[in-house]
Amino acid sequence: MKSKKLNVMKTRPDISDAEIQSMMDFDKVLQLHKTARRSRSIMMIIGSGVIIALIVGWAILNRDEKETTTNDTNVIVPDKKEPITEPQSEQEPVQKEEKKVVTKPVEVPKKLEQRETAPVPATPADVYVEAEPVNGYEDLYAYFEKELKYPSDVANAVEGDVAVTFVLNRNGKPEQIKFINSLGPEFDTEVIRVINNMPEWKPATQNGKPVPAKISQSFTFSIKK
Amino acid sequence: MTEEKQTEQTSTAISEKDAIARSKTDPNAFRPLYEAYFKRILLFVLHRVGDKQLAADITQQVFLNALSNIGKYQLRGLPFSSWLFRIASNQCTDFFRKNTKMRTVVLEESSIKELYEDLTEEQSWSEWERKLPLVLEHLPPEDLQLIELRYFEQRPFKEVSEIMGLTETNTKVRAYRILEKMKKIFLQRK
Repeated sequence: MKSKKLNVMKTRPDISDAEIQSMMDFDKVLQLHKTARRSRSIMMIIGSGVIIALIVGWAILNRDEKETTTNDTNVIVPDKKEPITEPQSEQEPVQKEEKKVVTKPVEVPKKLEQRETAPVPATPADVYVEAEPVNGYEDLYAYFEKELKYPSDVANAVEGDVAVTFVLNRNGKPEQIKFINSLGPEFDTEVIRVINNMPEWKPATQNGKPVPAKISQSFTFSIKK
Repeated sequence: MTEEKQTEQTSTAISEKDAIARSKTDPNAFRPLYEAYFKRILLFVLHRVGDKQLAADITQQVFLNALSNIGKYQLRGLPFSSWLFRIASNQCTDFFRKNTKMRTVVLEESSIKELYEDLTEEQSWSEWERKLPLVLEHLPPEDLQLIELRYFEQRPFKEVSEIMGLTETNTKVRAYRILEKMKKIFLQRK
């Protein structure tokens, strides 16, 4: 071992009782203890304050997030990022409006139930009003029930639903009719006829201005016995 | 032991127990404990640092730590003196870790004789005296501490184990292993 690590003493260091007495100072230990305890208390208070501040901050942030979520559900914001891209007349962004109407037999329209629960816009800054028939939904459903006829030239008698989507343009006129579920060309023709001749609609509006709206609807064809 | 001495020891034990209990709520009650143990702790530290003023400063720190942690001390656990020696030992280890000051070892002839007998009597005494510091330099701080407590300060294994925070059996096993290691180093050294 080259480097010396230990200091070896052959005899114990000489120290008298008087010297030891002079080194004793309990008051200093006491004073240091009190200072250390005070520092610890201050640190604990600061630590507690920081923790409380973090908890309160978190609670406030959480509340704000909840309020934002609630507002989001109240305001119907048109999804402008989803324009309809069918190669038809107007290439404009449209509003999605889910409707499910069964024409035969006539039932309480599901759409009406949905409308009753539909949230009211919370802020006047961005108000969206859904499209609706001028004479109301009951009149519309009565029209569907009366006008929708089972095609006479069908080879195989079938029953079922024809589901379509169409766009109500700014004038409240239907266009871009798309079949989601078809029973055959004869049924599609009948549905197109009924939609094109349906009663007048009030177009959807955003902040008072008419905007296109997408409507989904189904028609039930059943054989009357 | 005379009856008078026994009575004196019992009353000391009661007053120490009482002082410890009261110190947990009133730091002023720690004074008799400080006065009773200051000298022993100071010498313990002095034999490791070799400097009186430095030893006095470290000793003050030992008692400050003891007072700050008196609430954690269990009356049913190890003796209060061993608890203080353990704090002092840790304080010294901490000091040498943070400072470049050289560790001191007191090797009095009377205290190294037992180790000489346990280790190797094949070598001459003069050879032993010459080589021992070199062998000790090879030991890690914890091993040196154990040998110092057991052989140079001639404390019983029970107290050594209490100061080092080990079981008595483990302390004995470790001491045996350290002696074996020392013997090898001793024979390798020229």
